[in-house]
Amino acid sequence: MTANKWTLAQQVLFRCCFIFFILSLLPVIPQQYSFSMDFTDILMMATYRPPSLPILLYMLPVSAIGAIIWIVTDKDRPDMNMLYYWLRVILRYRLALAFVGYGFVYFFHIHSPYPSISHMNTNYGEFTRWKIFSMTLGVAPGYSCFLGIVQLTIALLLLFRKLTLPAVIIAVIFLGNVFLSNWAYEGADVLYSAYLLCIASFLLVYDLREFHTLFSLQRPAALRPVIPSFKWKWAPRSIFLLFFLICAYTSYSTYREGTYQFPHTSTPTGLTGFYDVSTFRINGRELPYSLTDTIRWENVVFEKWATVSIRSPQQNTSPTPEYAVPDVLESPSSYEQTGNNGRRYYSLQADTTAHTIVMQQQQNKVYVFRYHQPDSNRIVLSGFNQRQDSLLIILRKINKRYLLEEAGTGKNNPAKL
Amino acid sequence: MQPWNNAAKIAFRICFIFYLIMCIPFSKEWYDRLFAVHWNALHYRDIYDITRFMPVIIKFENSSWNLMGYTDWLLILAISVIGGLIFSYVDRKRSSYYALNYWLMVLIRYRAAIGIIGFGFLKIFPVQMPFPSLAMLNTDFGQYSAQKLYWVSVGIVPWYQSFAGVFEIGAGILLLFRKTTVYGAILLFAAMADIVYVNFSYDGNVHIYSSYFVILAAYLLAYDLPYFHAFFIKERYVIPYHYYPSFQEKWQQYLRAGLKSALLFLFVGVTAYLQLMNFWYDPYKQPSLKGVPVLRGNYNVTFFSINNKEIAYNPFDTIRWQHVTFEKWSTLTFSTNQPQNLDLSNGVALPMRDINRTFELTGMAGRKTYFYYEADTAQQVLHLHNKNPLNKKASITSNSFYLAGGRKHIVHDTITVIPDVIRKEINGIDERARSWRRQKHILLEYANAQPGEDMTLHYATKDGSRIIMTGVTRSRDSLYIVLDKVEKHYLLTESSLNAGNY
Repeated sequence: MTANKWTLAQQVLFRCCFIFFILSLLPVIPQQYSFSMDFTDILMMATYRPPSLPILLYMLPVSAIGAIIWIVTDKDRPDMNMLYYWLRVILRYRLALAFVGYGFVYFFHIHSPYPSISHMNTNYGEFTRWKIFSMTLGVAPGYSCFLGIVQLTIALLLLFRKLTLPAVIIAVIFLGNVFLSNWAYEGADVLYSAYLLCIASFLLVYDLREFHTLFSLQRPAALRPVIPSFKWKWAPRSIFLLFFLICAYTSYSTYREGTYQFPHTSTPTGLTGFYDVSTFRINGRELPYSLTDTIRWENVVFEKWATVSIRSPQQNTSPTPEYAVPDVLESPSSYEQTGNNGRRYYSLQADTTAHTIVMQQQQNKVYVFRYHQPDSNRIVLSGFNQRQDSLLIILRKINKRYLLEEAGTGKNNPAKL
Repeated sequence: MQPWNNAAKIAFRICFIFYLIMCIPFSKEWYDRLFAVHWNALHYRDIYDITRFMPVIIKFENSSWNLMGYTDWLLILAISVIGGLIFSYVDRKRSSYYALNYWLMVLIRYRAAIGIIGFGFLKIFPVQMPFPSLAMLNTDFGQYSAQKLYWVSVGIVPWYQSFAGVFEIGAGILLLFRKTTVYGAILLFAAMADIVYVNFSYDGNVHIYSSYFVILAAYLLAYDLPYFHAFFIKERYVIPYHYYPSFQEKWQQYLRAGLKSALLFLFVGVTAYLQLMNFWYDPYKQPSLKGVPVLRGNYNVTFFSINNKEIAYNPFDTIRWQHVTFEKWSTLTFSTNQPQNLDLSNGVALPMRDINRTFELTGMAGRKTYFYYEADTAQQVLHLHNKNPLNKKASITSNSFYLAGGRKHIVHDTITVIPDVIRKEINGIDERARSWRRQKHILLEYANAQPGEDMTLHYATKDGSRIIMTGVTRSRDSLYIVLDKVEKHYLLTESSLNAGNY
């Protein structure tokens, strides 16, 4: 497409791409966009999605027909250099927007938090693939940060026309991997990453012939037609940089507030930890330790935030587990319980003066207990479940050592655990 | 032909020596291994060992002096700087090094290509990161080391792993041809830079070898960088200058085509076949022989007695077995509340006996005991041998030349008669996957085996839903164990691409 004269095939192909990309930019899904300095709102704008797959597929024949009509009605135009230039400008900013949003999310490792105590005490096989992906990223904040830097670099390079090629080379490789990971780990962004990959590939095509001539054939390449300088070119760049700074600020303040993916509530001090259920009495009858008893609890976790998770054997019996796909925007606080089995999760309401705790699931009070701590290692719970069975439960704190933490430094590896 | 300025010439001379040391195998071990290869009964590792080398000069006792392993490179750089300055003095009249640079690039291209192709084949038929075993699926997330978490997180998506292999082999093949070198170098640089960072973040211990490819790729890209800058960023017309050797003579052309074809045949064709056999019949990180089919699965221990004394279930008991699994291969595991020795190595070693293949337990805690067994299905007897590491440093160093079966004498070569179990293990895999190396290695490992905990248990079962195991441990305790099968429904489902033949 470097020659001044465009062939017919090039004309058709270009017009088809032009219509398709412009159509795909239109907001088809009604989404609530609001302008505030809130992280979720900003992220919502930065991760502006393409229409759903069926709509995108409809757009393909529409673009093809549109291109034919356009070429019939407007066949005297010898070249489309200016239109091509403007489409590239739009797509460059479109791609940069996508990289800014996720770039900061990764840079401040917001959506892949370090695993919770409950997660640490869940079997590996009881997670879905995407959850394992997310938690594996969560244990290495440095890696997440590196991925963030790569994305932010791409975004900034894309703001400059002359730096588009290096940006797009990195972007294509990066997005190719994102696409494959989303597909393999059953993540939520298969379509989104494929769409961005299409944009990046389209941008790459512009330089491909020259690149190939210079570095593969190792021959001189002809210079491209000069694009007349645009008077207001600082304007879009400045607006974008402003948005970049807003993203940086909101992501940073979210990062400072604490883990985005876990509830911003707190458990009374002294309760947090991993507990063995040493005594479990229901209606006065004591149940011994068991691997099959579905009523008795095996162990209990009080998180730092107001979440309690309980493990008991009944969790293993569901033959068709619910398979949820994550969405960072929908309800971040559901992160701890989506994508894993093996423990039941409750939100905790504690009254430290009356010494009562209530464990809730979707506003249902499942358990109501009075608690007291005879010593720092034990919690005695007495109360009722939903069916008004009386319960007396003694929890014994276990100072668990996790290999993940002990082997962290790589130098002082424990010999035995 | 443009003359080079002095800075460029000196930089080139330093690079020349640096990359020469990097790309040519200097260690005696590499040559010993090469000449010990039995070409008529190849194992994939024979080829892999040829493709994998890197200069290693020194290793300090004080690990902080090793600078995570990069000390060697600093030393090589120092040697190159000194050598480069001498070279500059001796050859001070020359105006440019186009031809020498061409040949240096050929060397780097071939070195990088062969190395990355060898690496990629471990992934294309996914065996480098195996899918987790039942016992691994039953281990808590917090009891994995970070390095293990990363590896297993790739292991759970074999198709993705395979794609990574395609990517690496693709990059390698592109590097073998001059016209596609630039694409290969970009892919290699990107993939390996990512792996360097992964290894830093997860303590993966492959950071040096991946950095090695990064600097090789960097040199291949460096020559074109000024042209790239001038054309795409400055938007100026450029005439790239390159030296090409001319092969006028027929014999030169035949030699070139022949060498290239031979390389492709050995490192792509033969390797692909060997690696496929490995994937099908002998995935190198998993035991290769089948476990007893009727026993496979997860079990609750319903009843456990030792010396006729029943022990009731209690998660804190240190003797009673809990959570028994029989893998699809010859491993039995159970947990107790007894702390176990750990092996946190990343499994670079290549043991051949199933008892020494320990990917299922390295880098993990969780108080599990692992037993390798030999089964006599006619008598319904299992001969069990403990797989847990005896101590922290117990991991088999069988990748070393001694155990790899070189020409050197074996220290503990006391085998006069090969016992039946060993013969069975050697012949237990499909004929096409057998090799000289595996056979030799199994004998060596057998001869060098440390006596460990073992026991013989009799099992009785109809269909595997309930198993009754009886027997006597080495310490003469009699066991009576009743196991009931648990159907677990893991959220993590197995892939359609599975290594091994079980």
